[in-house]
Amino acid sequence: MASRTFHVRVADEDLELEVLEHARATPDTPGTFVAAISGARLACRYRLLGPRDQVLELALELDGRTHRLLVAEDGRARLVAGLGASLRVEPGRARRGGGAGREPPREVTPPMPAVVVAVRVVVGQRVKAGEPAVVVSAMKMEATLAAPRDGVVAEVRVKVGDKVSPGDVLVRIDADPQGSADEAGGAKS
Amino acid sequence: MFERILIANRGEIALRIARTCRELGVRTVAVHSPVDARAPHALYADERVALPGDAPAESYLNMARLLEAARATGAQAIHPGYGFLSENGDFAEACAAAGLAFIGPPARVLRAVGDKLQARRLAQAAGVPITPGLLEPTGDAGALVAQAERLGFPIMLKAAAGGGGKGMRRVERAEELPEALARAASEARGAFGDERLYLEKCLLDPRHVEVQILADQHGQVVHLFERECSIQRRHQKIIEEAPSPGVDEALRERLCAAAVQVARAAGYQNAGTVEFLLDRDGRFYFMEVNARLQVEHPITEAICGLDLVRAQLRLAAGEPLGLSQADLTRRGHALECRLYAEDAEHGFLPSPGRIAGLRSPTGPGVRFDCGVEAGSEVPVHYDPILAKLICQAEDRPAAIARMQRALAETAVLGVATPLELLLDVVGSEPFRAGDTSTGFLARHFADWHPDPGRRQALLLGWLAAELSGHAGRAREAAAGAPAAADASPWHTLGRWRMEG
Amino acid sequence: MDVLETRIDTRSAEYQANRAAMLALVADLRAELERAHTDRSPKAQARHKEQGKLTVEERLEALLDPDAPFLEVAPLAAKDMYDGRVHGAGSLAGIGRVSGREVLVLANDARIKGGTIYPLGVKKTLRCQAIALENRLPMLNLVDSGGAFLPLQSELFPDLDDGGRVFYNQAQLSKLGVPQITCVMGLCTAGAAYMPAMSDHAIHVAGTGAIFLGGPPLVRAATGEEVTAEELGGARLHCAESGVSDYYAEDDAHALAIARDLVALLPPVERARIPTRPPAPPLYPADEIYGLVPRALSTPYDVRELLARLLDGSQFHEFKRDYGPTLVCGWGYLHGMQVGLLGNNGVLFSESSLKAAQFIQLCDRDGVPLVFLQNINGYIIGREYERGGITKDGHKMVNAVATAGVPKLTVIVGASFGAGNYGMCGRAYSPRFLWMWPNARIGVMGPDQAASVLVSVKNEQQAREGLPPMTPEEVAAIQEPIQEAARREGSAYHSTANLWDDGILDPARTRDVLALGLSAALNAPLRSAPWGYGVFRM
Repeated sequence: MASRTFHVRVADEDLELEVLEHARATPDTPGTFVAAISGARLACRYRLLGPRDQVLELALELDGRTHRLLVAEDGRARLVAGLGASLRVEPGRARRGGGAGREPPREVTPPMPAVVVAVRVVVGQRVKAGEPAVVVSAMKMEATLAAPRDGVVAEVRVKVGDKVSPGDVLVRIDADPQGSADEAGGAKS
Repeated sequence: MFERILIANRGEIALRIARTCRELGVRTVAVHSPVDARAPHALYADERVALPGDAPAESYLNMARLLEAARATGAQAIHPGYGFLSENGDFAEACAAAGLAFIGPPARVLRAVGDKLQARRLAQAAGVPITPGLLEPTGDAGALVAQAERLGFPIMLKAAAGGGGKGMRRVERAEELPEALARAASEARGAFGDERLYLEKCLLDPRHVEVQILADQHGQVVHLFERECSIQRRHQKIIEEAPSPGVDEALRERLCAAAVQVARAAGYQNAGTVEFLLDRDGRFYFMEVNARLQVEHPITEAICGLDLVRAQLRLAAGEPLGLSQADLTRRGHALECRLYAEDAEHGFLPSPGRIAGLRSPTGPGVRFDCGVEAGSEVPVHYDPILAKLICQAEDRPAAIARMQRALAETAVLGVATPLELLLDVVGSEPFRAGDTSTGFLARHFADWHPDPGRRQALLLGWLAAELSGHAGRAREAAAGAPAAADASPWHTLGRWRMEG
Repeated sequence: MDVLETRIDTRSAEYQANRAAMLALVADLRAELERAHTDRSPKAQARHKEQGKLTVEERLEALLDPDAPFLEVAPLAAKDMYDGRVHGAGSLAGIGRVSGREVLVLANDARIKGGTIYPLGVKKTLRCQAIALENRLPMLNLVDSGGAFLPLQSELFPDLDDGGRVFYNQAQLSKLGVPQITCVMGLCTAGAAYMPAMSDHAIHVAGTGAIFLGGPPLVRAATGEEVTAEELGGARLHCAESGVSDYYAEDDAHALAIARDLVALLPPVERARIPTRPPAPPLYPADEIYGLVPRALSTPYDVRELLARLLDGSQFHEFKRDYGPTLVCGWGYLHGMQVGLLGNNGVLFSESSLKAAQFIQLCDRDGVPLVFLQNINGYIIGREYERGGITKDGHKMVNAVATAGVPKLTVIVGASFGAGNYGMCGRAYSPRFLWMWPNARIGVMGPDQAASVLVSVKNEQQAREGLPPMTPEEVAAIQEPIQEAARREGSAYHSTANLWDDGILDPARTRDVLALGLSAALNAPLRSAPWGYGVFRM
């Protein structure tokens, strides 16, 4: 079959392990596979020595040496030990994007027709996602509209008292040319 | 010989002591805290007595309960192991008062050498060199400062009442002294109830060398050569070897003779160790006496062909040593690596938990003193030593190769251990060259990280387990096979596919 | 319980020859399966990856529980049909385990003709829905399809069992409480747009998933409006504004994780209870099946030898052994589950038909599932038998099979000709599953019989018209085409291509397949209808 990719998390690092070829082990013959890990192509053979209680033992042949490894389950993770070392492998998220991460939206818009009762940001201010931007009131209730992303306020199109509707852009936030918002600058109360 | 003894300890040492007892036909009584109820040391002994709580104070330090357990089971002697109450004069005294043999030196000797300063004075009086420093403890900061200036920095502040790194501080410069004094005194007060300190001059990157002593109750004292324990982390030994690569025959004679002198002067009985520091110029200085069986005793057993616990029991039973110094010879070389449940990759943080799997090394010249097994829980309450791996061979290079092989064969699943670090240390150039000193780890392994090649091999092992679809079956099997009637093929066939 | 003994000599020349022949067939099967799974155009592969999509195999991996079986359904559908590359009729389907329970998964392979739906693709979908319905298996649809394959639209749109039936079935499944979870992982156009809409849960992948009744080209043609697929029917639109979709997934893997969570939330299965005992493997290796099945279908063998290699502990309690010996009936266990088995040991006579009818009733009444191992040329013919009432005795067997309510599973291990197919629970008798072996053949009658019947009829016609009987050349001219057609159309591959079965098996894996199918069948109440039969003509 075609190659299989596994996504794991080891020691706070997300790794992608791709198995390019695999021939399964049978009771008489060792299994073989070719894997790509962090750019390195590794070919090896393995034999299952069988589970003892809850621990699987296998013999792995790599670069002409044979190593005996122990594998045990630990919740969703697996523990592997051998060669004097041990590793905890957790399942990772198989994230495949068609490209870079999706762009978060840039506009602050009201969810329903309302009146602006407060504007909390000014043009040029650095904001973080989730920070209050505009407060609107409708149906006797106030709603605080938050910045949808980290960035710099590019436009503020409303003032207190304005009537606004869904689809209206009240505030526009651009990506911060210097990277993420920091503490310096911005009129913070 | 005693008929029954109580082992007032836990883990690998309690198991090791019980084994020798069994060989001698001595019945054993183990004690255990609730969390240790199914620990190997508890299950191995002939009888076991439960202690009320997990905290050391309620269990292995609980003198009253220990004595009660001995009385109730009819034990005639108590072996305290190492740590816990092994050097506690009050406990030794209480044993004696209860008519129990304490397997170790008598209370007065314990107290004499247990007081570090008294031991120093004793050594000096015996004509044995000691590290320059104070001979009297003091709480007077001024006196300590003055002495420090006289000796010259760096100096080592130490607690008068105890060791183990508590109340200990290395001071490089005069400016640091007041703060260090305050901290050390506070620590000493907390650990020993006594804030008095003394100080010694720090030697420049010395070797830590100690000599094993055996003494009977009739004044006979012999030594069993030296051990080097320089590879330490925060004053805790992790690798020891015998004999020391830094000691030649001439030095050995003088060193061991000095140790015997100290032991005689102290009126020592049973097994003990005299610790020295060996400086770059081959001069040795007495440090302290460890009046107990030490963790690293197996390497001496390996090169001398002697069972030290057996000797302890016989000596405690009043038997004479029965051998002279001339009878004791050494052969070959031995190394020991200590396996603690600690994460060497992350600052040696303790790593308690359940041991999911364990593979013990074996083969010629390999001894594995292990206090845990697959399924054991490593509790948080006690010193996290899991096992000691001892390798002996004809010479040092062969012993190193053997230790490398044995370490690579050892596997611990479920808790972190410094196994990989030990492997890298033992295989390193400076270690092979015998260039060991107390600064070894700081100098050569300060920024140690696990080898990526090994990690890659383990990832391949993980893949093999995944691809074979077997790992899931192990889990199913472990979960306790579901009731046969519910053993659906959807759960028993593993990764089954049409095409096979 | 009796243990079946074997008389097979695995060292005999006969055994070795049979084995070699069967192994060759199995090797062919493996090669065909491999080809069906991997033959994809590199351009299509690349395009698929460019879009950030997971392949159908990767989607399955992410969806299913690791280390669990997957029983593929009709992997060789549409084999050698259309342009020969519409593998599996354009989709991957099967029963797998998700979050601990058996589900039916149907996934379009967008690398095959853009995932467009061919007539046999519709048939495969309908078959999957039937399996889901009969066995109460939650259905997971992974939609990634360009819609109907327009050049063949007349064959997949208008009729009772064409495209519209898919959505009718979805409504029926929903009414019956069979959960349906659809992941929109690509285009979901026109008719296909109803698939998520008619499901209980619709998971919509952003960027690639698009639901619309008319796609951008159609919209442009109809109203001149220029709009992208994402704007017209993307995830954000349908999750936030229209409510057509229920879950917003950032990518394929996320969508499948949501699907897994949904399956885990489903109410627990009330499994049908049948007699069980601890499982045990057969005493003889499955591998020996290769050698015990004769190379020629006309060569008889004792079906008990096959049973010995299928059943737990090779144990079989035979029913009415001495009566009607050409049909073997009895009870055994498969992976711990009790079944009643019927296997042919020759042609069906009145006695064997009556025995079968009685046995089927016993199993049906006691709630024991039935397994049919078909290797039947037909019922006996001839004057004596007709006078004896073979037709009405055959009817009793067919009546019992048709109306038995317990789960039935059929494997065609040899011939399946004529009414024998009916009595032994062929496709038309609604077994929960029906599989074929690679050596199996199916037809109204064998090719040679069919040819000789036609020759006979023609000769009679010649005689009536006063013409001489046909010459050898004329005979051959009639015989050869019919034989050729019957051979071609009777092969297991022809059957599986047309979805007359649920897949061709490696004979050595029959036991596992039966057990997996049976276990999946137990997700539904045992009986599909109240116990009862039609009138038995006595």
